[in-house]
Amino acid sequence: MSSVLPVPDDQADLADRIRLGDRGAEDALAAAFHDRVRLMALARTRDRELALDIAQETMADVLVALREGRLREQEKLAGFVYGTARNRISDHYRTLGRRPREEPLDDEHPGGGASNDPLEQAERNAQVRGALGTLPAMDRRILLLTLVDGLKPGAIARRLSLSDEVVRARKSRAIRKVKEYVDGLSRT
Amino acid sequence: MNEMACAAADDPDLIEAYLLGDLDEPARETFETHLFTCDRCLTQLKLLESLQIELRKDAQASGAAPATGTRSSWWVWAAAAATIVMVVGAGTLLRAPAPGVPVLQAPGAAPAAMAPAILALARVVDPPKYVALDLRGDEPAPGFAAAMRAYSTGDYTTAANGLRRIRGSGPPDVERDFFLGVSLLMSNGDAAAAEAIEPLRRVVDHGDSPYRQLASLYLGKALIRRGDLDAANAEWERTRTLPGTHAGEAQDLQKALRTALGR
Repeated sequence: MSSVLPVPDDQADLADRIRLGDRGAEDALAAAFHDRVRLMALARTRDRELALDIAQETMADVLVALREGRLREQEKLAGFVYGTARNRISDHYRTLGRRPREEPLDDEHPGGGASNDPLEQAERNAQVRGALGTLPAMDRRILLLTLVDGLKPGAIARRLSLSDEVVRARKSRAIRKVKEYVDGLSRT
Repeated sequence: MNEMACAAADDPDLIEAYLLGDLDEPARETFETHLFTCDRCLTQLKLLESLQIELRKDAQASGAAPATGTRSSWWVWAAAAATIVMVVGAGTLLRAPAPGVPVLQAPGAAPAAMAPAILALARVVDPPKYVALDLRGDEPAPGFAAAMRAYSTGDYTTAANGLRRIRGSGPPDVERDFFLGVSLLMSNGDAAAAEAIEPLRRVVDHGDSPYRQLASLYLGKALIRRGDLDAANAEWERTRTLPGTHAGEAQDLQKALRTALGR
């Protein structure tokens, strides 16, 4: 299920349809916002399982509010979802320490991270895997050090005996190639 | 926002920085507000997430996985600082392995004799960023700022030397001890790593602070470098019980240690 964001007028329509009990509208709401919330929570918590929990809890909160007609400015649905997600993440940090998580970051879940549409994500992951196979080993190494180890270009440059500029250029080119590869497959 | 007007989607550095938790809070909020109105940025973010997942799988398959399963950001530090829970008497020293912690190996194995898979557990790929947290209400010791500037540029040897000098003349300081321990762990050589044990242990023993859980995690790594696998395992067991976000990371390290030892 692809994420197509409704324009404000359509957001109001979507919110109204959910208030009236339209299940299709609830699916559309999840398609538009679930992954946004999940990725936002992932960026803020660095925990895939927790991010998924927060996304599901946020969407449940939003659905209940919409069913009960509690969103007054329905054309501001996107902002409402964002605010609800932020509250959920804040709740998590308020309880930090009293509820330490036992489960580690894990990419082995079905769908590789439990997107709103696991099949779509599994397909995208497979496409990305194919794209990585076309990159030079040095570029893959730079991407690994950047996106997994979280190193800055300067640190990567020192480690690989390259200049900062070369690292930046190779990283940008590698990401662009992956994107073009995936876009090409998606078009066909 | 009109997608055609979106410049963020064409700026992979911005989206990458967001995914890695490197944006400051105002920039993060600005991007998130935009993300909730832009499909192109969502698509780009998903692509980077998939890259992260597949690269991590590759690294794990080749045995080159980073030592830390998650990556700390300044924001997490700030959040941790904001949620300190003072527990009276929580500074009890636990030098022996906790009951129920499996004994893995007699301590004292020479680091050089250890398998690369075990030594890899001691790696600190992404040392914590230094963010000045005004927790004490007093001025930092002279020389502290200079040492932390060196730390922030990745010059850990200079940082360690500076912090060591301050330590010799100043009162106990959790923040200084924590970054001294990390700097030593990041410096070259087993001797420096062994020296990291004492300041990190002081931070853990001090009781609750924003640094306590991560100090415990790194203390386990320093113990690995010294070849004391049992003590490292016990320390990571403790890490899992301390407040913070690194319990899963400690659990990962324990699993990896058991796997490396064939247990």
